[in-house]
Amino acid sequence: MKSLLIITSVEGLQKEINSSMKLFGNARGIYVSLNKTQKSLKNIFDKNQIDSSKLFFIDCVSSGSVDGGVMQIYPTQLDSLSYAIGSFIEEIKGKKFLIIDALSTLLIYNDENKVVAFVRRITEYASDNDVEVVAFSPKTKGEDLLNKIFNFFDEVQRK
Amino acid sequence: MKFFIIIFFMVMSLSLSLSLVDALTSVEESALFDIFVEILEPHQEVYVGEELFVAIKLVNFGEAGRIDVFLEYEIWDDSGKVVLNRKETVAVETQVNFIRDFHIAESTLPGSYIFYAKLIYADGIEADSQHSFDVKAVDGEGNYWILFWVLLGFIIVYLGFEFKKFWDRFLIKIRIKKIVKGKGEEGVY
Repeated sequence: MKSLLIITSVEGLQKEINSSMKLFGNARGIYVSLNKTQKSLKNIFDKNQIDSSKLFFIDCVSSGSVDGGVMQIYPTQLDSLSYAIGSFIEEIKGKKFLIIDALSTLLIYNDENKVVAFVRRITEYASDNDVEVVAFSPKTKGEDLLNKIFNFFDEVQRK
Repeated sequence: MKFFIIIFFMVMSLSLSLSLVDALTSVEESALFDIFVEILEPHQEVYVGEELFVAIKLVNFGEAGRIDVFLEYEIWDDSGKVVLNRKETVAVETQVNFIRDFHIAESTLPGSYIFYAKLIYADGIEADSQHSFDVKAVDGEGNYWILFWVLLGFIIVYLGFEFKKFWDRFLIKIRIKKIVKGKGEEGVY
């Protein structure tokens, strides 16, 4: 299983996410939403004819109530976030993938080194459990962070 | 004749001696002493093994004249037991101020104590004064309890945080199990 970091422009971010989602097809996956609410993402996926019914969302954006099938975690709680990702990986049987959109958004709420440690923990755990990871980050934000987390991914694509 | 001269000198000597004794006695009897002791603020708390410094003031309100007075110092614990005793003689004319230091033995228990001083003059006339002070345990001995409670506080706070973390994770786990099960029941798999 491989891990991939895609660095793209803010404008192209959603397009890249959609492309990756299409590539995963009908596979089950965990989607960590740091950029848009789960509702908004679901609408986008529906418009782009992407099946999101097999996605388990961890919504870090919504502050109010969320759908019953969505896990809501505040982006300040990196420990809880990594624990939730790990729990989803444990609970979902079979082949699965993990998508984290806009990694650099975590820098707004957390210290850079904590974010680096979080990314490392997640990529290691995913690798140990044969989970494919695709993380996205806008080009314009968090260059220092990106330089520190490059090594945790098998592949880095700049688009 | 010689006999009378000797008798005369003997009588004169005796008379002179008696008048000197009278004079001295009258000086002591006309004296009126008082004693004041004070333990100054920074020394009102003394640690075991350290010195207690006491300011002592002796005043003669009576007729002036150099007189030897007898001083007796005692330190009492809160049950009235004497834990230290010292005596000395001091010459006083009108007023004397001095400081004496008293070693607080290592075996002294922490607590409240009284420093007591008694002045004795002229065949047993007395004046006295006293001042209280506290004996504290040396750091690292009596403060073990403080350290213990502080450590206990830290442990409780730490365990509180750990429990909160455990509880949060427990809730996350339960919720995720429910979410995954819910999607499974809807026939996703």
